[in-house]
Formats: sequence, structure tokens, C-alpha cells
Amino acid sequence: MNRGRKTRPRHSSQDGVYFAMEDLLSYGLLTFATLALPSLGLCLAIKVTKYFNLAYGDIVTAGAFLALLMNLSFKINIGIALLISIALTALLGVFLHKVVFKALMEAKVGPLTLLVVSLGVGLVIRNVVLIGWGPQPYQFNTPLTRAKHLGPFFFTPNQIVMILICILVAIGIFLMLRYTQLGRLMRATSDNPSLSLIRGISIEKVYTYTWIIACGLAAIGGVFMGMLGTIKPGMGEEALVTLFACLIVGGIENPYGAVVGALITAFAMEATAIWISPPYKVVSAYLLMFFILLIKPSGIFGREKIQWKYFLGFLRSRQ
Amino acid sequence: MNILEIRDLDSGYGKALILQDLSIDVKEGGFTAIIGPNGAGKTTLLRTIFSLCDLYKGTISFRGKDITRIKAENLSDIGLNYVPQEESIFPSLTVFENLRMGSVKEKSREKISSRLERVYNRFPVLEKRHGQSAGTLSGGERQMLAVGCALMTDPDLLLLDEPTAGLAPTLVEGLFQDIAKLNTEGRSLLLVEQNAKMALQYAHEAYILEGGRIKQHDDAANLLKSEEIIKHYLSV
Amino acid sequence: MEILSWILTIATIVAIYSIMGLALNVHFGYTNLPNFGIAGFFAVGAYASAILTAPHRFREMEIFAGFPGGVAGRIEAPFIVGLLAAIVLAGVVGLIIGIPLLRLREDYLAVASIGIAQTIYYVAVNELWLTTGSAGIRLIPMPTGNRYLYFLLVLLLLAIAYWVVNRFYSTPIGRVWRGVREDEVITASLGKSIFRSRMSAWIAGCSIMGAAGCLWAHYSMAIQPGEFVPTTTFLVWIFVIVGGLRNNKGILLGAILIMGFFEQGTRFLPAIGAPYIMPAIRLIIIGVLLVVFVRFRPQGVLPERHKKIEAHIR
Ligand SMILES: Nc1ncnc2c1ncn2[C@@H]1O[C@H](COP(=O)(O)OP(=O)(O)OP(=O)(O)O)[C@@H](O)[C@H]1O
Ligand SMILES: [Mg+2]
Repeated sequence: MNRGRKTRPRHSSQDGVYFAMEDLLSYGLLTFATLALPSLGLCLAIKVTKYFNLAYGDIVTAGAFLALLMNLSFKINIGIALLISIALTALLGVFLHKVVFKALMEAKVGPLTLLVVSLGVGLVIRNVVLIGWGPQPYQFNTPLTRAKHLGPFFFTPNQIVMILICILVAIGIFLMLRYTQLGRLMRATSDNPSLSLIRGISIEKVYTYTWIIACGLAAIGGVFMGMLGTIKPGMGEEALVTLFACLIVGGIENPYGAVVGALITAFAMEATAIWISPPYKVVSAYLLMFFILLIKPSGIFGREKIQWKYFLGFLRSRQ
Repeated sequence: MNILEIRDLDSGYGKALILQDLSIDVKEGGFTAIIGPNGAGKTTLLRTIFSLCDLYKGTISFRGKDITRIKAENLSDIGLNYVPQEESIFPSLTVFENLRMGSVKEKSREKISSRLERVYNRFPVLEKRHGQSAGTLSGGERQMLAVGCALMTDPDLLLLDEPTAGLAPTLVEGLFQDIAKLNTEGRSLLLVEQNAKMALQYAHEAYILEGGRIKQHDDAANLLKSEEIIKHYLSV
Repeated sequence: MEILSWILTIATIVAIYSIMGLALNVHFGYTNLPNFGIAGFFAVGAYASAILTAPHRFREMEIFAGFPGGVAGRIEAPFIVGLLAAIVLAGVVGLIIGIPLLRLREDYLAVASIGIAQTIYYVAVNELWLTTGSAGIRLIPMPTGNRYLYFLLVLLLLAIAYWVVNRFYSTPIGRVWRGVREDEVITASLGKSIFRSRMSAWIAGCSIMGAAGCLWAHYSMAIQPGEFVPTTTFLVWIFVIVGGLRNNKGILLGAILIMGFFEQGTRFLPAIGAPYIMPAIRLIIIGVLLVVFVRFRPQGVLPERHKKIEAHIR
């Protein structure tokens, strides 16, 4: 997620702090736009299916490469390529669920077994992409646009569209969860799958729809990451732990938390890049994750109190 | 005429065989109670009927039709419903949404709203709380909601697993009357109860389950008089 | 002669990976701590030993080539110092990381430990003064001076690791570990501190991984951060699962099957097309193998002795 910092003119002679803040706002928001939707998707997947799917990062990669295929090989406009990629990635997700995970879930294996299996699945996706496209980075073919000042922000029109799409889609998902039948079914299945069966809910269908949504969001995230940086087979794997950081900050099964967590993580990462060291921005997301796990494992919106005692007195505590 | 017939049933969880050689009948319009000590396998029995346990042997027929192959999610379609012992509601959904989940497969809006109205009439407190998240309900309200949800499919046979567990004695009486009313309206009931005295007072017949096997089966009134039962289950 | 050298290469790599597999067995098999940060501890051990034992010549060459010249090559300690440092440092890093991690539920621990390994990777890439960055450390001495003797050394250490890990299984502490795995509540009620016993298993495993890292550094004589990516971790997991989780013999067998035949054995086949294609095909096969094994034979080729394995992995 190395965004094109070159689009931005450097003001060397002017007030550095002011521009650092401006950088933070703009890049923070852009990083947020790349993280928010995949972290929301991963959150929904975990919320409903109750296991950590570590292939999700590679599904993000697949989304980016499917869009790349449309955009570069078939010369389709990036917007339409995005839509096609959403559909194809969703299809991929459903395929993986039906072929690999469904049988294991029905056999009632534990979440850890599913996690291990998902690693294998991720390995396969990543290397199929590698064989198809090679290790070199790619970029989308997008019309060249100039960045403009917008209040304290500094964005190209493409970037504004990305941020808007991100916010609108997130709101759409929230409304869907709150007010539609599918949203109710997803929440019910998340609460208690065996009661859902008793009530007559086909949880297999709910899992399928959840994967469609989660993978669609992964595709958007992958394309956005590609728009701001480069597209390469390892991009999703790199992003995966960052996505988990977003989720853990916000509370792992809380969709609102996933988006807020993405916002916090994005700004923490960009602040690190500006004031500490750019290569360590991903590490700052991990450190944030460990910090939250240490003091408040249920995330910032969790019910439990902050457990400073773990942080301060861990050597003396027994359990 | 029996609405539910269980014959020579063996079932359990994975390799753990819990129920052995069980045969149970519920009469059409009947009210059958199952009583027994903790760990006797009562919950396992209801879960087996609802295809949530592993069945090794035996048949379960509902209205003469074998239902052992039907998936849990489709049993409510044929007129069967189940109020589980624990976690019988979705805590993060509102009361209304919980009831709506009760009739998830029903397409006709009129049917849904008329059933909803009936549930609200039966348990007015639910209507008062209909927008409240179900996780915040009191124990009694939860049980009413759980029964209400099961009624949303208008079942002919209702399986109830200790619906009065944890309720105050006054509420127990009330809930039993509500349950008995369901029976007088024509629904068949299979009730699992710890509170043997109440159960035997309201039910028509009862089975006593111990260690995964049926120990005794008789009319509820006879059991209520039986010395042994009084000694084991009714002396408080 | 070429064939012999080829077999030697494979055997050495298999032996080093087997040591990591045994360490994973201490973590996951004995104590149910799913460590997905193996590559991180492997890197700590490798770098600790490499930095300490790299010859002065390496530092001089770096400076000659115009780099500032870091810690590596300042000390030129003997191999045994490097090995001990690798073991101790990996254990210390394990201790520090374990404090937040070991309180977590197992799936959280899995994800968080990936983050740890990635953090160590980023440090290896970016802290030039310590690790010379992505160029890596070269000229690491091979202690015996001869690959045959070195293989024997690796075998010796593998034997020691095998013995130690097997001992753990039957000693009181091993029983407490397995007790924690089976039932935390009962073990806690016996007055055992779950956190401490988990921590001791965690540190023991991390140290063994550090030792494996040291052996790797001195075998390949040059290390780069790119060798310590998550794929390394996953390979260990995969052969442990295929060979037989919780059975030390199974782990050796899995290492030979997966690391020997697939990962290393096919390395010397003629390349098809671009150089990245064969490794990618290998990894695809390994990924599919993992899925198939977990689906159809979760206990691996060799199951744990007289234990109901399904109960643990499921
Ligand atoms: N998922 C499970 N796996 C294995 N054994 C189980 C499982 N659930 C219950 N059992 C065992 O089955 C036996 C019967 O349990 P069940 O829940 O049916 O008892 P019950 O009669 O409903 O008891 P209670 O009155 O306490 O509710 C118990 O010994 C219990 O330990
Ligand atoms: Mg019960």
C-alpha cells in the first residue's frame, strides 16, 4: 500500500507542521479508503462464520488482479473493471466456501482447523496469481488527473471518488445489516447458528451470501489498494494482518468497529510514516493491535474495562 | 392417533451414545411430559427429534412420516417447532426481529402479521418491548419470547425444553397456564421439565427418563400418586 | 558425486526444518499454542548468530563498498557463542512477546503471531546498522568447514532436540502442559499457574526455533530477510500436520515427505518457463495437500500415541 506520493507537490519553504498535518489528513483518509471495506468484509465473514479466514488477504489480491485483467488485457474502463471484479471475486469466494470450507464446517471442526486450512487456500491463490502474472508490480491504466486542494485535503478526482465509494458502500452495508431481511439473517446466524437452524434459517445460504458480500468488499479494497500503489501477488498477504489490526482495534465482530478501527489504524500508519519512518507504518498497525489486545481484547467498543493491570503488573499476575 | 412416534431410538453426540432403546409417543392433541434428573438425556432427546444430534438407530415419525432424514432447518415447515433449553433467543436482535425470525420462511405478510398479533395478545409484555434488544430482557420475558418465536410458525407439535427454568414461582404458574392454553387450542405438546410436580399436574401423560432410558410411562395423574415418584421427584 | 551433494543439501535442510517442527510440536502439540510466527523466531536465531559470528572481513567489505558498516562483523565470535546467543535471544524475544500473546484465545494468538513475525521481518529489512537490510549478511562461517561434518553437527543437534522434546512429553512439566491443553480449569484447580506453564512451553519452543535459525544461517552462509517470510512458517505447519500433529516421529516423517520430496527434491528439476513458476507450482501442490489432509486425515500419517486426536484438532 505504497501510494503515489509523487502526485503531491512538496512545499519545502513553508510551514512544515501545517503541511505534515495536511499530509496526515489526506493520506490517512486514502489509506482508510483502502482498508475500510475489506476490513468490514472480513468482519462480516468472521462474525457470521466464526473462524478467521486467512485466505482473505489473497482474495483481496485476486480482486485486484481480476480488475487488472479487465483493465489492462481487455482494455475496459477501471470503473467497469471494478464491477466485473467484484462479481468474479464474489464467485471465487462462493466457490472456495462450497468446495473447501462448507464440508469442514459441517463436520464441526474447530475454528483453528479452519484457520489452518484457509492458509493452504491462500497459498494456492497467491501462487496461481504468481504463475499468471509473475512477481513484478503492475499499475492500473487510469486516466491521468491532477490533484487539487479541497480545504485541508489534497486529492485527485479519482481519489475523491474512491473515498466517496468507500463511505457510501460502508453506509449501505450498515443499512443492509440493520434493516433488511438478509441483515437480520446474518445477525441471527452470528448469534446462534443452531437456533437459526431451529427457526428454519438455511444457514448455508446465509454463509454463501456473507461470502458474496465479504469477497465483493475484498475486491473493492484490492482495486483501491492497486489504484494508490502497485498490484503484486503478495499485496493481500501483506494487508491481511493490517486488516486484522483494524478489526481488533474496533472489536472483532463489530461492523461499525471494523470501519472505525480502519480509520484509527489508517491514521496511526500515516502518522508513523510522516513522523517516524515510512517503512514502519505497517508495524505501527501491528503494534496498535498488540496494544489493544493487551489492554482491551474486545476492542475499543467492547464492554469490558481497560485492563491496565495486564499492562502494568503482568509480571505479578498469575493467570 | 399419535402425532409423534419414536421407536427404538439410539442417539448421542459423535461417539458418545446417550439415549438407548427409547420409544415415545405423543398423541394428537396430547400433552406429554418428560421428567428426569439432570443429565438423563432429556435435552438430547429433543435435539435428536430436531435432527441436531447423531442418530444411530431407530425411527422418528411425525404424522406417520419418517423425519429422521429431514434437516433441522426444514422441520418447522411440516408443523414442528422447538423451544431449546438455553440460548433460545437471538440476544443481539430486537424482540420484534426475533419474532420475525420465527417465521422466516413464511411468504404471506397477512399470515405473519396475524400470528404476530396473536403472540402479542398472548404475551402483551413482548409488544411493550418490541424494539428492545432481546439480550436485555429479563429471564421470564426471554422464555415468553422463546415460546412466542416458536408459535410464529403455527406448529402442530411443540417441543419445550424446561421453559420455566429459572423463573420465579409465580411466573412458573403463569407460564404453565399459557402452555396449557396452547394445548387446549389444539396443539400437541412435548414438554421437558425439572419441575415434576407442575408438569404432572398439567400434562396428560408422562415418561420418566433416567440414564438415557425410559424408566416409567403412565398417565400423569397416576404418576402423581405413585409412591416412588413422590419420593424421587416430588419431595422438595 | 553430484547426486551425493544434492542428497546432502536436502538432508541438511530437512534436518533443520525438523527441528522447527519439533519446536512447533512443543507449542501446538503439547500446549495448544498455535504459533504462526515461526519465521520470526527462526530469523531471530539466524540473525543473532550471523551478526555475532560474521568475520571482520564482511564488515570491511561492506565499508569498502560504501556502506556505513554495522554491527555484523565487529565481534567475530565462535560458532558456539552464536548458537547460545541464538537460543537465548529467541527465548527472550519469546518471553517479551508471550506476555501479551499467551493470554489470547488460540485463533487470536495465531493472527497476532503472524504480526510478530512480520514485525521482525520489517526490522530485518529496515535496520541497516543491525542486519544490513535486504542485502543480508554474507560470509557467515560454516563451523566445521566441511558440509559433511556440518550435516553431522545438524544431525547431532536434531537428535538433542528430539530427545529434549520427547523428554518434555513425559516429565512433570510436559504433563502440566498437556493438562493445560486438555482442560485449563482442572489444571488451574490443581494449583498450576496456566500462564506460567504456557509461558515455559512457549519459551522452550521459541529457543529451539532460534537454534534452528542459527543452524540455517551457518549452513547457507548468507541470510536475507526474504528467507523469513510467512511462507516459511506455513511450510513448517504443513509438514507437521501432514506428518502427524503431536507425534515427534510423524513430524520427522512429514519433514522428509514435504520438505524433502516436494519442497527441496523438486528444486533441482529443470525450470519450466520463468524461474518463479516451479516454486509456485510446488507451493500450490503443498497448499492443496494441506487442505486434503485436514479434510480426510486430520491426525496425519502418524497419529499421537494412545490419544484421541480428533478431539484436539477439532
Ligand atoms: N455436545 C455433547 N457432547 C457429548 N456429550 C454431551 C453433549 N451434550 C450433552 N452431553 C451429555 O449427554 C448427557 C445428557 O445430556 P442432556 O443435556 O440431554 O441432559 P438433560 O437431561 O437435558 O439434563 P438437564 O436436566 O440438566 O438439562 C449428559 O451426560 C451430557 O454430559
Ligand atoms: Mg436439558
